[in-house]
Amino acid sequence: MTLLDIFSYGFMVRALIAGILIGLSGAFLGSFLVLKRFAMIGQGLAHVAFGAVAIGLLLGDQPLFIAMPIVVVVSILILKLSEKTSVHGDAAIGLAATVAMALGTLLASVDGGFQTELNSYLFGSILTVQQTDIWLSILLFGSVAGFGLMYYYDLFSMTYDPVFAEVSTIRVKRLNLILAIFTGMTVVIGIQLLGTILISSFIIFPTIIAMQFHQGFLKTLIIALSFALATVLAGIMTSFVYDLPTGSTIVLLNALIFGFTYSVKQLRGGLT
Amino acid sequence: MSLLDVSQLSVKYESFTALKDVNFSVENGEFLAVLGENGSGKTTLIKAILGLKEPHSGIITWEKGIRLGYLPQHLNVQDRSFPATVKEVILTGALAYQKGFKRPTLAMHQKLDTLLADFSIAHLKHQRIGTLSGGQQQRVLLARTLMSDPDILIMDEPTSALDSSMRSTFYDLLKDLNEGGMTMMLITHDVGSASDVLDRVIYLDQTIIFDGTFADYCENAAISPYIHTHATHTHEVHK
Repeated sequence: MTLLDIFSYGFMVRALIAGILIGLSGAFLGSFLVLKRFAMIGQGLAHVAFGAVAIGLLLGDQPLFIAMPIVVVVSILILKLSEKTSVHGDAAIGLAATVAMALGTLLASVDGGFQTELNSYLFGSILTVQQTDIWLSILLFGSVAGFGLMYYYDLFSMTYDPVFAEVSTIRVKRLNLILAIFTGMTVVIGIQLLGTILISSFIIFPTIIAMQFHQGFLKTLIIALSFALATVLAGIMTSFVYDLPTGSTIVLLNALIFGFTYSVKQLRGGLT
Repeated sequence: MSLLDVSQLSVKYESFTALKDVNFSVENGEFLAVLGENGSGKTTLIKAILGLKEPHSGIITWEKGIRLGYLPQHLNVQDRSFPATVKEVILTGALAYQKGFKRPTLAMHQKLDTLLADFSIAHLKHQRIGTLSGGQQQRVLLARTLMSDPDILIMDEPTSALDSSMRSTFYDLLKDLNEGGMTMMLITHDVGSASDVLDRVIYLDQTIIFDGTFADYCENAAISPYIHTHATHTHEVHK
């Protein structure tokens, strides 16, 4: 089998398109979330998505359409809670994640009919990516790209120095809200491919790999997007050729690259 | 109308009253210092007038269309690995106020180069800000603030990361900006190096204890034990 054979399979083409679009969206959002030290919102929302998918499976056969608004609402709630000084961001994420996981497990055990299907959302599968997921990925990528082009400088300013940004009339809270909503959407659309356990790697890995190159913000963002694209392509193809789980392959590929770039940085005191 | 009017301002943190019945105005072109010991409410006052802390009561009125410049005590970002160059950071000062689709203009780049040259940091333009010394970072932050041509510059302990010779250079620079028409509001617990440039002093201890010229502030040292301590210190620095 050659690599070109991959493109003769419809499900592989769908997985590649969805993977690239979700990977680029996650890497873009992750550049701001990681540097704001709010990256764990991706992991937390993935757990929330597990509970939300359980509700979706209980109510019908299109669980992601039910999970989407639930995860988006919870992402807003996490943000609002973390803005209160009495509940820190990581605690707010932990609260939402554990409640949602508990709810998902409880619903599955009470109903019993969808336990197996629910478990398939834990690790995802390229076989399950449908045409609808492609459209959702295009919608997500288009929205995130438009948002990024329009507000790049405001996002950078508020990530670097939120107090200065707020004094400079940048609407920091509104931008944070949009970031949280897009992160929720990325997680829900991405769990089909990577599953709830691994989806946050799309948000975290590209940025921490790019940071090892010691560049300015724009170059770091471009490097993160490039690595997101490369690891999604290589991960999906490798998993197909060697019959490996796609999500795990992508995550471990990222981990290898991170380990390599980090080691080189330590040895050379910066790659450039 | 004054540039800034603060009337009957009180700010609370739950049951703790940080500021009570604070009244003052800032006029165009003034160089004002707000002094006070640690915990006197200086930072709370800054947060309130910048709109970062909701007052418990009172009214803060800015002249319409005013552009605020804010220079923090130090970088809010303490992570030295943050991927941002000096150029990227300084440009945010001008871009924040750009309307619509934000992109750096030729005029912004020219102003950036002028400020970098004025502050002797042109050679650092493409360096990551985390690699700079405290003094260099402070000059970058001042350049960022000046990119937006602010009407008033509000500074919170701006010289805390600078040594004594750099402090006097820094205040000379502020003096030039003030003479060019920019209003200055300096919050500090050490007025020493700034004493030559001040028009007016407000002494704060939850409320305003003294409001007058710097000369009166020194002469009226007997008004309060706080002021006495401070003015004596100031005179010593002056000598």
